[in-house]
Amino acid sequence: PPPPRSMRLAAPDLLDPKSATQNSKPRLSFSTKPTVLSSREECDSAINVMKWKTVSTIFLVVVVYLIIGATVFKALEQPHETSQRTTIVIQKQTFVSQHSCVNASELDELIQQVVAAINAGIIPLRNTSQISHWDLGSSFFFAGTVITTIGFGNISPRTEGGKIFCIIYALLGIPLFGFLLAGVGDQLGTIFGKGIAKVEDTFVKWNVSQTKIRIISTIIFILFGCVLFVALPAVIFKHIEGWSTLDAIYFVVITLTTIGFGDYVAGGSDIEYLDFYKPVVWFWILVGLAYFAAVLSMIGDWLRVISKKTKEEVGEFRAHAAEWTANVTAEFKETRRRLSVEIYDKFQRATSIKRKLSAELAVNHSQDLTPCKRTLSVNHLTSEKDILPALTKTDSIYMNGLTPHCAAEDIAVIENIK
Amino acid sequence: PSTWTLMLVLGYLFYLLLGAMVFQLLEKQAEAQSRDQFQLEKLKFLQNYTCLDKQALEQFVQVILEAWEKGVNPEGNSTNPSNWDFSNSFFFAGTVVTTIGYGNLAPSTVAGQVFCVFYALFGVPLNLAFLNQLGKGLNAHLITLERWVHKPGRARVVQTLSLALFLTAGTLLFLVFPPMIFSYVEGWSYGEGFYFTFITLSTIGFGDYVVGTDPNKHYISMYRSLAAIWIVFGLAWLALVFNLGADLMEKFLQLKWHKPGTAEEGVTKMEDDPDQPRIHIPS
Repeated sequence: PPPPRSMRLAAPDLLDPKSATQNSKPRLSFSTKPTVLSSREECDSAINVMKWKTVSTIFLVVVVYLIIGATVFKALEQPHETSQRTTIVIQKQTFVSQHSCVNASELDELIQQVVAAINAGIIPLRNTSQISHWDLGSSFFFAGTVITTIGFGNISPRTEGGKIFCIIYALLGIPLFGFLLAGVGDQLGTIFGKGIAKVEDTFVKWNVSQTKIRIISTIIFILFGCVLFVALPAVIFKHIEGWSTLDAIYFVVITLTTIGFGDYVAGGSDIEYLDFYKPVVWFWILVGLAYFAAVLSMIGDWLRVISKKTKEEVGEFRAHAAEWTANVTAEFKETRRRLSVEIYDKFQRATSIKRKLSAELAVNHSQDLTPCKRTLSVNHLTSEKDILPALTKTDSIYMNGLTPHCAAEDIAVIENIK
Repeated sequence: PSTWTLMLVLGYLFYLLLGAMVFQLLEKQAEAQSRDQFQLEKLKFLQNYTCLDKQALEQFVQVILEAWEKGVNPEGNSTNPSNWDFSNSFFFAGTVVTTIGYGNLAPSTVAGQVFCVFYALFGVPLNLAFLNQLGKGLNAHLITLERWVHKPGRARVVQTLSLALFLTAGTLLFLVFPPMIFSYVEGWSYGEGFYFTFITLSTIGFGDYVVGTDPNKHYISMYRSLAAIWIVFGLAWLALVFNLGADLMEKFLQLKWHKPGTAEEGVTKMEDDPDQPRIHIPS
């Protein structure tokens, strides 16, 4: 029956976003094989529907998982937090009533109390009427920061039970979120791919080269994503949280790379927020993470391409060097041959006249000269006057070729001659 | 591939060093300034308010809170070791690229924040590539081990035993022993040490427990750097384990795939399968 078949097709695609996106859609990064900008198969739409269904199912499971986590965290953490808060208030009151005048050691004690309070995730200002960090909305948000591995740390479990549960919760939740992220990323890629395909189609009509199209589509992808997932949220955060523009952008990037310092947290201050603010923020994190994963992998691809190119360039340089050496050697051989031929032609007569005699002399005189030096001396000669006595010492064999070990000196010699 | 791995390792180390230096350059002065200011505030408080009232207390608490939010520990005096000395900056750079982000230290200057954004944008993929390569290298060693194990004549029991031994050794080395050391040095309970280990290696990084931050303790100078190295190798080991798990799961699924069964079962099996490699870092 058709539905199970499409499910079979859909499931591996979801699990492996690479194989899924390689089907037919244009990819979002440079590293991918050039895709054909043609119409897609009809069965893709059916697969897409199934994919959507799987994604939404996992999404629901994740939401349920988050709600469970939120309730458990709330149950475990809220009493502890309340008791901590009441103790700090009591300490403050006793401090005021008992010590009308302050000395340094008491001051340090106070500071230590305040620091302990901050460490425990309490803002020690005003009174106990401030909203709890472990109400359902905040616990939900906290559970989200655990399984996305962002871990802002402005709130963290303080009780033994909370810590143990946090470990187990993360062990199960992180893989689950991985699946969700893969699914969302796949869908996001499909949507972007469709948009980019349309743009690319128009570019194809204008006769632009494939590489240019790739670059332009990547730039469009980055710009569009930046506007949607960075600039727009940053503007919203700026208005709601009262941060500067840089603070907002910084928060967005630190969050979406899952670094999550926790120095800026959306919904972390005492401002009265709208009820749907935190869920919307969480949803933004989910989709934004997929986008940033794509961007980060793209940057990773670029790094890989750059490293590959450097490798190739090193290889090319080596090849060039080898080629250059070969050329020089060939040129040098040619020059030497021509030179020796010229010299040979010029003084053939002289040599032939004195051959027998000079051969005899060479045997006697060459003991203090290496063959190299002798040939060099021959090549240096510019006037007949100098050559003749040299020739008398030299055997004609040396004029036709140099021994290989004096090649370096020969290059210099030839350059001199040139 | 070995030279390539080496190059990657060197590039990675260089990147960490670069980050450490830039962060130190950007942050140290601002930190010293805000710390001095906090000390001044404290002195002023002592002079002005010989007798306390509630408002003064609130103001003082506010001051402490602001200092804390700027990353200054209000306890002790101005001779506290700097949060942005070299080894701390190094540690901070490590927590950025691994996306742990404890948050006990965070850049507070505009330049530091801008640099941090770009540092993370390129450092995170680099770190991923590094971990990948390290995992591959370890995997190659694992293959040689496997060949040794797979020699004819050896029973299947030996194979599983060696694998179990490998996993146990890794677990002991990266998950069981470090908490002991941390609990000994930091004065935590073993449970707290293990919690810190887990929160770190899962790259969640709340920052409620961070090694080497207690101003009242004297740590050996290499303590934090050693911790950073442990983090990197622990992450690589986890990546390897996840890869191994993915491989095993794949084989298992392939076996299942050829067996006759309903598609629904296959789908649910696939959904249960935690085979996302390096799931703790979305990629």
